[in-house]
Amino acid sequence: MDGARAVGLYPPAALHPAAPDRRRLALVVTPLLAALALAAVVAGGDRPLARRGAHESGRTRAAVALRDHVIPFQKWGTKLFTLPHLEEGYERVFYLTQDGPGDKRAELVAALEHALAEYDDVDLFLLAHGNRFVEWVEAIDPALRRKLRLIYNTGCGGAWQAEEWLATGADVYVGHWATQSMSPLFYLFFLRRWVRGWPLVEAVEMSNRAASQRLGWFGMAGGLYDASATIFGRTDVWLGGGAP
Amino acid sequence: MSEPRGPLARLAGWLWAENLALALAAIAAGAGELLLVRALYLAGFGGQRRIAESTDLPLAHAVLWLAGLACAGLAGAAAYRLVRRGRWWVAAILVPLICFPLLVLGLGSLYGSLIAGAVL
Repeated sequence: MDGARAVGLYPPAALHPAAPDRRRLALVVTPLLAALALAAVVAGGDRPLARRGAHESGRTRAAVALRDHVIPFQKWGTKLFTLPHLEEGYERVFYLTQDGPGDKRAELVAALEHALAEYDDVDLFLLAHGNRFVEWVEAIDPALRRKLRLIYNTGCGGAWQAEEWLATGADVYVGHWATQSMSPLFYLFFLRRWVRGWPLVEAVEMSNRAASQRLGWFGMAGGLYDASATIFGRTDVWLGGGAP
Repeated sequence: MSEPRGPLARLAGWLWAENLALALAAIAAGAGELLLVRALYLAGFGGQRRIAESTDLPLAHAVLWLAGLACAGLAGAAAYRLVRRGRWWVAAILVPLICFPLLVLGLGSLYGSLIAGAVL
């Protein structure tokens, strides 16, 4: 019996001359490949960010976030990214995920009422498709609502609700105009900068640029899928309070 | 003389002889990571919750780290092995088309975990 076959080798060693040993080439190519892969990951995502100074401003702050009823992967990914960032920037975080359309209305109102009663500044993050959550918030006592600071709404066409949101008592509202806005891309860049102490204007401008660039790679910048957000209301806001 | 081996053992022998075993293991690690992530988000958010809410994030990061390390490590080792010992035309095809995307997936998991966890 053929010896190579007997030990399970195929093709037989006699027909398979020893390959050259390209050790040096392998030692150069492999780390280069890994570096290239890491560069691709960072370029496609976002670069590491440092905190901008101390966040303590003498004011207490809380965040309330609501994820709407979407596919499980999106709910999971949103929580995975949002919760640690909010916990980094706020003393108290209320994170809610809807289990069905219209779900969590009472929980959202209760969380907001609790946060507004206990903290100086309350920010609301609406991580949802086109929505009318403004009607839920309007049910809260107007005296409490005065402590609403930033409302960020990923909803498509959410920018059209700016007047309504500012009328609730919020200092500033950030929303998207496009009817099929790729706003989660903007949000990826925005939340990281916001909780690390960037001034709101700077965080929004940079996130608009970064999101447009990424969409441009796929020919989707501007128009229907535009991820750009607009600030309505006060512009001198940062995580710690007023002008940094 | 040893007994002839079965088809699976011969296939494994052939893969090893052709320096393809590590690439195949890297593909399995990448596919395993995607399946684990899918199982995780379905267990947490796929209707009936099957894991505690408090484990959503620790389990996710554990999967991203363990599977990401395995995938990146095996993809890097596969690239090294193919470039060093493989047939040149096999390496020229598999390194950019298999090893590199798996390196991106594996390193992306590790980097993504650090970004999502607000570490970086």
